[in-house]
Amino acid sequence: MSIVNLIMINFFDYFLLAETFILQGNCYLGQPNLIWLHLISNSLITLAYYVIPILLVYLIRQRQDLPFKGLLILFGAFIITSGTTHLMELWTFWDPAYWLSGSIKAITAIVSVYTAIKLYSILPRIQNLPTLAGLEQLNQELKSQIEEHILAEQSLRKREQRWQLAVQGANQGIWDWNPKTNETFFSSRCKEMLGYDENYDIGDYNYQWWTHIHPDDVDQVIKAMNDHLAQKTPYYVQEYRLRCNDGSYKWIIDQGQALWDEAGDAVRVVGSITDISDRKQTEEAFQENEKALKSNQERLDAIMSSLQDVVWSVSLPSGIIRYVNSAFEQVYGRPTFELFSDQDNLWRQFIVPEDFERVEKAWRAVQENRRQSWDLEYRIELSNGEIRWLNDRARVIRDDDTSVHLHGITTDITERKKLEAQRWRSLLEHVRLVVVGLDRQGKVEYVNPFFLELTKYTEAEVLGKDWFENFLPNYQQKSVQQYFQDILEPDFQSHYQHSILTKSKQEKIIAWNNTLLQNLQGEAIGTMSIGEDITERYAIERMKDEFTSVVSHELRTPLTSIHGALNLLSTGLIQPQSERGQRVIGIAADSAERLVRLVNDILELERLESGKIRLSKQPVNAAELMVKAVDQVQVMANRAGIKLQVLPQAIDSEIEFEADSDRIIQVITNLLSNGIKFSDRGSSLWLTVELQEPEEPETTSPPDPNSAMILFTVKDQGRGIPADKLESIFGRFQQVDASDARKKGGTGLGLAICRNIVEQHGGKIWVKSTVGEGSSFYFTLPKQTAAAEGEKHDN
Amino acid sequence: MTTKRILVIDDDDGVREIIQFSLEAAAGWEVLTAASGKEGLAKAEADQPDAILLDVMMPELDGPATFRQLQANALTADIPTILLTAKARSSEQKQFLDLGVTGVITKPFKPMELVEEIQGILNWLD
Repeated sequence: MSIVNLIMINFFDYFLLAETFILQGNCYLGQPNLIWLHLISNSLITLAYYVIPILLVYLIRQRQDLPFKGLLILFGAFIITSGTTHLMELWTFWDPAYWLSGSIKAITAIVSVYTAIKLYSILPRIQNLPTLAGLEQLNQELKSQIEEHILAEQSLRKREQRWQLAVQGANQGIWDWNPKTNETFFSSRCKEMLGYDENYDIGDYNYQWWTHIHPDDVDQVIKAMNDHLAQKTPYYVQEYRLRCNDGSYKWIIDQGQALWDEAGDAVRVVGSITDISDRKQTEEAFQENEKALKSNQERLDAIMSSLQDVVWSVSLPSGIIRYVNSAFEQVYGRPTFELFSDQDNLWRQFIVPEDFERVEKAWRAVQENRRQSWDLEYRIELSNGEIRWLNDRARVIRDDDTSVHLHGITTDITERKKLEAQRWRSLLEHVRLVVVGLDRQGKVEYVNPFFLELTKYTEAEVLGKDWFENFLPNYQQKSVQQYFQDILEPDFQSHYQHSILTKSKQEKIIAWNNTLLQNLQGEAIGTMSIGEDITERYAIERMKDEFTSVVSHELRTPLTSIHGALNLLSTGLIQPQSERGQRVIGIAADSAERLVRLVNDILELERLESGKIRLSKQPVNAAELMVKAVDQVQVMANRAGIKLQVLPQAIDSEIEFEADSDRIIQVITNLLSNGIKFSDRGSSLWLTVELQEPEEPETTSPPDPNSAMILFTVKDQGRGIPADKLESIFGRFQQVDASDARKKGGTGLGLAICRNIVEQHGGKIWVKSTVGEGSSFYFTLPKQTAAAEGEKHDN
Repeated sequence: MTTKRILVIDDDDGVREIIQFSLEAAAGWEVLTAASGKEGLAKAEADQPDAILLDVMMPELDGPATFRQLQANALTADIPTILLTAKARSSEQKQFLDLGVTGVITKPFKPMELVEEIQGILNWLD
């Protein structure tokens, strides 16, 4: 056994086996009640004193924030030792281990003293602990502080949101730069503005940012920032170009504000950038426009000063001149400043009295807003007495509700007027039309040279004379005079047709076009009439009408017979088999035949005259033509008992010439058949031909044999032709006796056709006749045609 | 209705005969004929017809000239005269009416219509 074990055994023996002491229960004299009282009380105290520390420990574990936890632990120890002393009280009832009990008490005493000392030492702190009321108040204060804090936080959040919205709304990116550490924050909008996503790291403000700035702008930006950091400027504001992710540049405005420490060193700079590309574009466009505007203005000024027309602008209704270009001085012969200094419309003072009222009237109408434009021609008189014609074109322009101007251009048309007058004068003097000017009383004021040429009057014989009495036929004087009065009234008819008398009293039909002459005040001062001499045209028109009328008659006459005859038969008014019926049929047949002949001749003549029939000219023998023609009419001559004779020398002459043989045979046949028709039975009809040599020229050269003419003659012993019909019978439907000719199958067009054919060959046709003795028809043809002659000369 | 006597003056034999046959066959009138104005004037004076049909276009003495002579003669002045014309223009017809003729009939015509036209002009319908 070790010495330690001996000490321990002796110790326990000493503390626990102290049989030398009396039991504590003996002190209560064995009184059970008293014993029980102590036993129960000590048991309960012990139990309670053991439970309380457990609860304290539990409380401390649950409430880590409790103050004075050490003191509570001391209390727990003190209580548990106290509980143990009570436990020992129970023990010592039966076992007098008073050393042990006393030792425990000693421990309890130590713990208690220590606790008391500790409690004492922290008592001031415990005393300083708030009271419940104080805690309540503190709690209330805390509560209100919390509420205030919440409100402040909400307000801050709202402000934050507002600020964020404002920044977003302003399309601004935010940056925050610490110049000392060079730490830089760029908002996502900054990055977005430059085409980066929000996770991209632009870098710090001091280095990487500068690399994005346009080289041309970077120096000024650095200088501006440095100035601001040095507190030379209250704010940092710069507009410059930033390079975007795609390499393009974007205009921004960069604005910032620095914070400085007490030493004056900048510790933080916060700012924003805004995309101003659109604004810059607008500014650039504006500047371009400004430039263009300026350029246009300069150009306009140059144009205005180079114009020969006066360009002007007048305020309405005041009439104050607002603008006039330098041409005013040239046109009016006065300096421009006079125009501006004069408020009584100097320009109007130049207008000649005859034109003033008209211009003034227009001006008043514009001033009173009754007229929005004008186009006037008037004269002005310069200070040197020179008269100039001006043309004014102006229009009212309303610049806004209050500003109204009359803008105009004035052109000097003096030269144009002179030229116009010359041109008119020249036209009137050379035109092949009659021009007559009359005054209000009908006296002749002007006639042009053609009038004098037409009428054979001299100018002196005409001017100042009464037009109606001297130059119009009596039967037209009254009506034309009335018409003249009508012309002087408004809405007159400008076209009219009447005759005038020449000096030899010959009537000339004139188609007039009349114009009323007015002075500048609009008063009628006379007439100017231009007329065309339609005398010949009128005669031709009448001839045409007459011809149409005759053709109509000639066609309708056989048609009437045919139509009537067929109707008589078809309606049964006359039986076809009857004698009258047979006669009616005969009439219809004759008329139909006549109609056919007539239509053929009309068409033939029309084709000849219009050139639709082209002559086929070839060398022909005169004798052959004559024989063929005679053959065609021989039967007719035999029936009529007419002796047809072709002279033998004609047959033997061997005359040859160029002609359309069929057409010439047609002419000869026509003349022969006419002779047969209008000659008495037993009479003779002669046909001859001869060559007519050309007359010898006065020169030494011999006559050209090819210019000789072939002369055909048809001579009869018929009734003859009156002298007044010798020419007209070659016209259309101009028979000597139409009824008789019709009976003999004539259409009235035969000789017209003959003349046309002969003339187309370059020849002539005529007749000589003695009534009761007979007629001789002649026609000539050139031996050689003009075309052939031309060819010969060419060769 | 008593038989009417009509004088037809026309230089064209065919037309004259057709008119004659038409008036005789369709109306039963007595028809006298003349081949010229001169002949017509003589027959009008001699035979005193109830009416005269006078062609306008005739040689020598044409229709209007013949009519003027008829008017100038007291014996023939009151005889109603109708002009026959191939001129279809209304202006020409008006010109003839202005002369004072009773009526104007244009060629060509149908026999029955000719009769009716003459009756209409001369109020012979009743």
